[in-house]
Amino acid sequence: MTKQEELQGILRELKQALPELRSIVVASTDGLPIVHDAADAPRVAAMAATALGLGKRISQTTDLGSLEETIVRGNQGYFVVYATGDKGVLAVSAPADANLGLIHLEARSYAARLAQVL
Amino acid sequence: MEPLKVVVAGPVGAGKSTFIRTLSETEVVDTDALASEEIGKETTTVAMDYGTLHLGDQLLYLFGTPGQDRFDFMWDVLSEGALGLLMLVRGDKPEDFGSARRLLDYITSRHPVPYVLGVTRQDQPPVWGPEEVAPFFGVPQERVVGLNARDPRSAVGPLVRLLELMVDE
Amino acid sequence: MSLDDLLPFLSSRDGALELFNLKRLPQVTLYFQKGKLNCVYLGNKPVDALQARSVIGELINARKGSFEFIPGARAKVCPELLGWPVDRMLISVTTTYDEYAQVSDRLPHPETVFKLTHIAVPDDTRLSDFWKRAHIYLQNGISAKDLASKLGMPVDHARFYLLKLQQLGAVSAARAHNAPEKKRRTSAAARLLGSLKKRFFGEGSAWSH
Repeated sequence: MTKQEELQGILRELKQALPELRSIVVASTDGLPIVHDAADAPRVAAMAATALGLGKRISQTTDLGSLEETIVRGNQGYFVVYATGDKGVLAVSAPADANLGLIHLEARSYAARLAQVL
Repeated sequence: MEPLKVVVAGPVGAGKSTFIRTLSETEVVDTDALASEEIGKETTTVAMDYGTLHLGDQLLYLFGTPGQDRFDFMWDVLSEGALGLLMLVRGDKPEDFGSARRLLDYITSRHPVPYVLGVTRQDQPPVWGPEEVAPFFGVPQERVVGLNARDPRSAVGPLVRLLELMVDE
Repeated sequence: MSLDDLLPFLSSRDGALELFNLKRLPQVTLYFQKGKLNCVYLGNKPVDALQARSVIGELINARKGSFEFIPGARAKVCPELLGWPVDRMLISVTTTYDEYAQVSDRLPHPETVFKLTHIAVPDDTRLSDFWKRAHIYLQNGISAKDLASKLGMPVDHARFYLLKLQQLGAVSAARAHNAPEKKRRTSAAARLLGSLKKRFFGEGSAWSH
């Protein structure tokens, strides 16, 4: 199985585990989409990389340890970006009434799996 | 006094981060990530670089933007309310002039900000000089300055020109 | 099969070619008479020359779709009779698309604001159709993205036309202005200049370049 196929497989599983997610993008830390289930993946990939990059900086500067995720919350939903090791990011968007705790639980474990492959 | 901000933009590899590191008196805050594409270097800016300069009792922020088109939302975020714009282009990469011109058009058509074009790598000939670059971009000669982004006395040139042009306006 | 394959057949038939199941367009109907394309309907409304060109372009690039030809059918209403000879229509649209492919990485940013430089209708009919519809907006300044929505065309088409007009010198990127900002800037700049020169070049030294 190629790396791409493996990543697609993990993406599908994540989608099944969290059907409430509106979009999922796995991207490189410099903002290029790798695999995704999203309408405007290139745009989301770049923004996710920016958000994570900023988050990493803030985390470093304010002594938060290594960055795990960064969350944007609007009144109509969430956008969460998880670090997947050093080389990638996992970005998901969810509606406002989603169970964020559950999303974190699942997404973090998928982020770890993605980190292994990337 | 409120801090003032100068945006440093330009194509990937133009020398924006280097320029800010050269002039900043504080350690530059950067947001670099490993480049997954071939861009001639290992890392690339994904959000911004910033450095500061204390001039008299005035604080000047230098904000560097990412170069790739996919980060265009950052060009707007960083250009908002800027005092001026420094557009950097590598003097030895004329193939990037087109994208620099498009970037200059984008920012200046949306933000009322004065600009100067800095042509880097002047210390490494053969290289296009400011007199050749100005007509290529269709901008007045006075708005184009050559520089070596690694030498503070040279790097400050475009910044001085930007301020001089603002005073003369 | 693509649209180009059908056109020779159509140049000798009068009637309507209905195209449907298209990925990027609703149903399109092309009305032909005496070897000329006279009218283009998008859904159940006729479109103008500018949009017609866009639609034909999209059709030529469409990979999948279904079609039906209704001999003798005529458009109910046709506000702008196109009269495009079928054989030449293909050439003019495909050359546009070849050109487009060559410049696609040089298109201006969709949100760069453009303004007219002088009033001059371009000679090229592709551009003059665009010009006629776009110039009132370009007078005050408008981006490709906004033009595309006002004129009913894909953003990339608007970007392409603006690039062509920019190359001809008929439009240029606008310069945003803000008078109160300017005043604040001038005084800030004056303050900074003095300090900057002192810092980098010492008291009383001149910087030359």
